[in-house]
Amino acid sequence: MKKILIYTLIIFTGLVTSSCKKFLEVQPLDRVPASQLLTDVNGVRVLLANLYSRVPMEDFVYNPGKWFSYYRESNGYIEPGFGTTFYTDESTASTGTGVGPTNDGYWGYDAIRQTNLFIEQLPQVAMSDQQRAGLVAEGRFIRAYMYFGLAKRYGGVPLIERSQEYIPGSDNANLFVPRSTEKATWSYILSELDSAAMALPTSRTAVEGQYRVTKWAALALKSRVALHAASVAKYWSRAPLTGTAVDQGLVGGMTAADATNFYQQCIDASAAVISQSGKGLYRPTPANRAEAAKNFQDIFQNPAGADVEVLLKKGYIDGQTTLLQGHTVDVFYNPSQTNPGGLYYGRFSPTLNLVDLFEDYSDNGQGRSVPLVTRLDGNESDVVANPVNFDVNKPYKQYDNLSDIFAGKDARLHASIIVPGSTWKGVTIIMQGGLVRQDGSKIVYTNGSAPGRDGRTYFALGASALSGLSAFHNIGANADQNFSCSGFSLKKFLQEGKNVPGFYFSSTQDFIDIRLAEVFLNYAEAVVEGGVGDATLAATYLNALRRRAAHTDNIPLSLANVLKERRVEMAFEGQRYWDMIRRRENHTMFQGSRRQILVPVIDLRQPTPKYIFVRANNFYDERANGQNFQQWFYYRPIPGVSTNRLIQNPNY
Amino acid sequence: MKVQFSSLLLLLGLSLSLSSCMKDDMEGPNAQVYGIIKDKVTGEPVQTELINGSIIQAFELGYATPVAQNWLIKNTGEYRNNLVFANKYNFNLINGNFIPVSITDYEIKPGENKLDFEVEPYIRVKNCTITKNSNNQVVATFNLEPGVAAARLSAIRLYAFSDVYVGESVKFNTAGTSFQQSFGTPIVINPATTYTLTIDLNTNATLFPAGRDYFFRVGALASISGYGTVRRNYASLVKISL
Repeated sequence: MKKILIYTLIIFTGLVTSSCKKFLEVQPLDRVPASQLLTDVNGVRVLLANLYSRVPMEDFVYNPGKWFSYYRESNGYIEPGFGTTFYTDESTASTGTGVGPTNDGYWGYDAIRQTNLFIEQLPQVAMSDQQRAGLVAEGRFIRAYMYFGLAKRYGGVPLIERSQEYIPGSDNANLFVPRSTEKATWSYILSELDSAAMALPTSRTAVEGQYRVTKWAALALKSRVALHAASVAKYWSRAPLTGTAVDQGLVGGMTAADATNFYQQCIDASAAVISQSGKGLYRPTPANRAEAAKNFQDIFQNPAGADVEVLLKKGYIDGQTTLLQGHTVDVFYNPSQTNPGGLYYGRFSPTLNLVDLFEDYSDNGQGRSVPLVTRLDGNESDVVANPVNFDVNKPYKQYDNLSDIFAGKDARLHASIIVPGSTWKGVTIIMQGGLVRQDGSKIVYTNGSAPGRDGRTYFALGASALSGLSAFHNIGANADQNFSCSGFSLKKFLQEGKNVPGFYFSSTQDFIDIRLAEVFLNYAEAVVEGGVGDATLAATYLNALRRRAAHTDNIPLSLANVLKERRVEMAFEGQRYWDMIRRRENHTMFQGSRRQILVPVIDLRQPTPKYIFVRANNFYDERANGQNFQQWFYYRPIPGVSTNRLIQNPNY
Repeated sequence: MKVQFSSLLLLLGLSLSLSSCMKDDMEGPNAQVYGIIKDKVTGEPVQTELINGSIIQAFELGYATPVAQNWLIKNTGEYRNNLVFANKYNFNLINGNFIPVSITDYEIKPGENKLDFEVEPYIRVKNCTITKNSNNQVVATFNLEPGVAAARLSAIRLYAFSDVYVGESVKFNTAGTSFQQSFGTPIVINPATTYTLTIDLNTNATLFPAGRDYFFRVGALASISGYGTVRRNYASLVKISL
């Protein structure tokens, strides 16, 4: 006892009387100091790879309600969802989703600091001047992309072009950089991309790394950024705000002349990419619709083969073998019938709103969307709130097969969306939501059965066993929601010819961030919206995209045609949400609105069963009493204003 | 065993005596603020809505960078905050349904404080009656008056819901064509015009099961530039038992 007391006393005394050594100033042993890493080119490449991973690209592992590079919650849970598509009118998660705004908390100043350090350290590394200039340009591209991520969320932000230093003992006023105006922020990003483009190489060898940016990637990003800035300048007044941030021009405050200037910059950057990059559309002149659909599908399921069209893409390695790598689109989004296993699948539900937008091939050179024909009386605006209550006696058009209603629609519909009754991975995908009995009573959203007049038994959801159907099972329940809630399923991005194991992060197909088609559409939009550029060329680009989808007529250049073309060509690629943001259309579109779905129903009143199609509101939007987007959502709240002394955006 | 137990006790004693957890000695909120958003002309409260309606932004002064506290306003135009620190405050009432108002350096004293904000609403909904007629329709009739000369009218609607929070954000998705009107090009507000809006209960039978109370309110959306986001102005709530 005495011994222990003495020992304790000795230890205690040792602890309280230990002298202060500079033990906090020891170099940590678990990381490599910049001075050491940046002594050769290979170290630089390691650092550069890290910076690339911090680019806020809205790829397959971006979850707008969570964060970038979303892999796993701390408790191991993973929420299915990528990109902003579920926040728009083009799709919803099969479990239902709101319409935004993004809530990813993006505030990339730590990565911007790393990029600044990278650029500042380069002069000390032994390499050729040309090599160094290229790397600096790469750093500036990455930093500009980060500022783009900030500007589209917050408006004007602090522009920090050099790494900041904490000076002990001073008031450190230098650390508190105020927000620049929104206009200055956009202009800064655009000029940075110009500078980057001047020093970046025009192509990359496999040895250098084919995913690294080129001059054309920088100009293509500039085309995207300029169009965004121009649209905000032009349409800010659709959703005006007041407050200190507005008074100081930190949000808004741009004029019509600014809009024209940004549209012109979009034209210039787009024109350079289109005419000088050597890029072109992937297989621009297919012989027929089937070939067009196959080509379009191939761009996304195998981006490596469509390199001619790709300006910027991100690669993945298998996440089963390397932690925090790979992505999960093939697992989460295969329809139920072809799911590779795993807990979640069938989670992607494209909306009827999008499907209706696609043209068919009977058009007259105007390029009008042709909504699906569900009725004999032409009343396609009759949408039931809840299909359980639909009136079986309305004049629904009857079809012999599930897929007949989609015949003759744009090849891109069949390449982007799995429609009911179509074949996917050799399986006929059954998406059916109800049944009308011989006596006219009905079963909807549950899988009852009834005999047909032909003596056979039919099922409301299209099959007796869950393994034989892909939609409307367990709708509104809390479990097993691995079935489309819209009557459609995703095809774009999914690999048809390759089966991945049913594990998380086992998909490795590239994510295409920018492809030439977008630059075509940016150019066309800048022409019609800004009154700048060449209208004939713009029409040519617009029709080139339609020709690639096996259309043979040419449509006139108009705002409606450009916007519609953008939606069908770029569906699910992450454009729609930001289009709605920059054009300030979200708050008028989502005022208690419901996204629409298509419920195929088998009608057993006929001698041989027929299919009818009911337009209905999405179950989850209806349950949420519609989706709303408020005017001040266009700008997100600046994080940490009580400590960083920045002026907050209006209404936060 | 005995030795081990003693040493454990000793360690326990040491760790307890060295631990430094203490309750902070800060005072809690010591003031309450309440009042109404009052129409400068009529003196009546300016109706709004709890969710996504007008708000009071309060900035407690004395910090390097005061951060906005957003105080919500009830549908009736009243507000109350019982957890406020006595101090000087700036108030901003912006992006609401009236011309923006700012008050600076307002001193809130310990205890109860009554603070009314006098505002100019964009639109006043006048002479509003909402009744159920013999055709099983709920009919609202009302006049509108511009609160500011520049205000134009872009939409009106008769809202219905099953509780008192009825408004743009809390409403039944009623079917029909005569319960709302919107004007693509905002129109001049003529106080002499009587508007009639109707919800047909037969068409909306699933939303209005019999034997319950329902709440109705008329809302009007102004269009006016230079004041940021414009929210709806409302008439008072009407309860109807169906």
